[in-house]
Amino acid sequence: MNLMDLYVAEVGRRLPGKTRADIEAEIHSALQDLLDERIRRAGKPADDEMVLAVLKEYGDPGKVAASYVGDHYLIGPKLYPTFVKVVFPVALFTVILVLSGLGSWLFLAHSTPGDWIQLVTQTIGNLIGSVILTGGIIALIFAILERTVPEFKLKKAEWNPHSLLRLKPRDRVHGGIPIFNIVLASLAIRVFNFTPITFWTGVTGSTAIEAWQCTPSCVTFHLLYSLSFLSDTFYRYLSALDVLWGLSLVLFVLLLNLGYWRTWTRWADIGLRALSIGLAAWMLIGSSLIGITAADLKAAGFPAVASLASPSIDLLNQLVRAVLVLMIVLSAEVIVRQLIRLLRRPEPLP
Amino acid sequence: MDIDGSLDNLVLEFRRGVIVLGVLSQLDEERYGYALINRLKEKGLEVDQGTLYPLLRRLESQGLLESNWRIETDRPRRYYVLSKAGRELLPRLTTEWTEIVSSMNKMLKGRGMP
Repeated sequence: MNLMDLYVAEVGRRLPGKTRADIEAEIHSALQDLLDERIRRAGKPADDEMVLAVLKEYGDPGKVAASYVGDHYLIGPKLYPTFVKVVFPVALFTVILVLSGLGSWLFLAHSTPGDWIQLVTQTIGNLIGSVILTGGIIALIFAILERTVPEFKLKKAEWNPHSLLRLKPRDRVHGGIPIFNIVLASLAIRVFNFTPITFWTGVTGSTAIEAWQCTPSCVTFHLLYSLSFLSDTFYRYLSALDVLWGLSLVLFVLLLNLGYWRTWTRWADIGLRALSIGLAAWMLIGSSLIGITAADLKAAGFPAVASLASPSIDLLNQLVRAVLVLMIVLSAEVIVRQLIRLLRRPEPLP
Repeated sequence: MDIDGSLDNLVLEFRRGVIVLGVLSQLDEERYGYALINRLKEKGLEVDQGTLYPLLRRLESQGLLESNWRIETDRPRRYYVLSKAGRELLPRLTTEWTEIVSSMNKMLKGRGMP
């Protein structure tokens, strides 16, 4: 990809998809006209310096994109493409989550066809609510970023086209990773904060586990979906977790929008990973995050062999601890990788 | 108070309105963006690409211009020209402009105006 293509792509990724190709073609044509004029005046073939001068004359890609979109928007041209990339996977994941819950419930519960109709109707209503709420949270975050983060305001400083040359393949942010992290963080915030304890009740409208004549598997399913297996200790960590998820969301939205890792985004990632290590270690040494006891399981008639109730709880506790240890190891690995990248300093711009 | 800054902003506002009329007045025949910039420059109105191309698209979406892509010297160029609505609007807009200029001249006579 040559410099001119890179520039056009930088403008294009900030434009709405409907008009992107057409505007890109027009900008490319305009740049070529400017270059032809310079070639004619210089009386020599085009070289990189000439192309860079043309790009500098055309201006900052962000400003160029903004001039096509105007300034009456909730989410502006610099963030809009990222917003679209994020909101659809999150909405899709929410739909899959809720529908899988519905499917599992219909499969596990001993309910009648009449109950199914009621359940499906309630689920559709709640599904729409869930998608709107989750989408609203994301839109709100983007709108706040748009108005608060200087990166998204039109820069007054002179744009340097050499910055296009400094973009290395290793610094490129591949969309899948930020989108995955954004989906996880959005859903974590949504599930743990906006569906108090009884998530399943929120999804189906069912008010009591007994209403659906649960089988033992169904009891387990309910415990998982309602999050009522989590202890009060877990909810004491929730504020800190919210901060971590919120900051992760902001960082990965910024990364997705920037398209490339910058020094400050790497340091921000290191900071967040360090925070998550600290939090995971804090949770590891604290009280159990599991709120149910062997007696609760026995009372619910699960597992079928009563003597297995206590080992089941132990196993669950060990599983949680293993997840926390895994989080610490993975975060430490990312920190090391980011530090190595930071040590390879880019060459200064001319 | 920053007089120069205020002057720049006010002149920018003038130009925004004037550029629309200037552009429409030069598109009675087909022109592509860069040729139009040069044409306006020859007539004494400097417009940068970042202003012109989005403006052309806006005028087209308002139905005042039409455009088509054409391959010339081995590469595509987008040509703009007044649409039927644009041709009807231009004389009326010109009349409005002339009246504004006339009124302003009367108001400003003796205040730096001959």
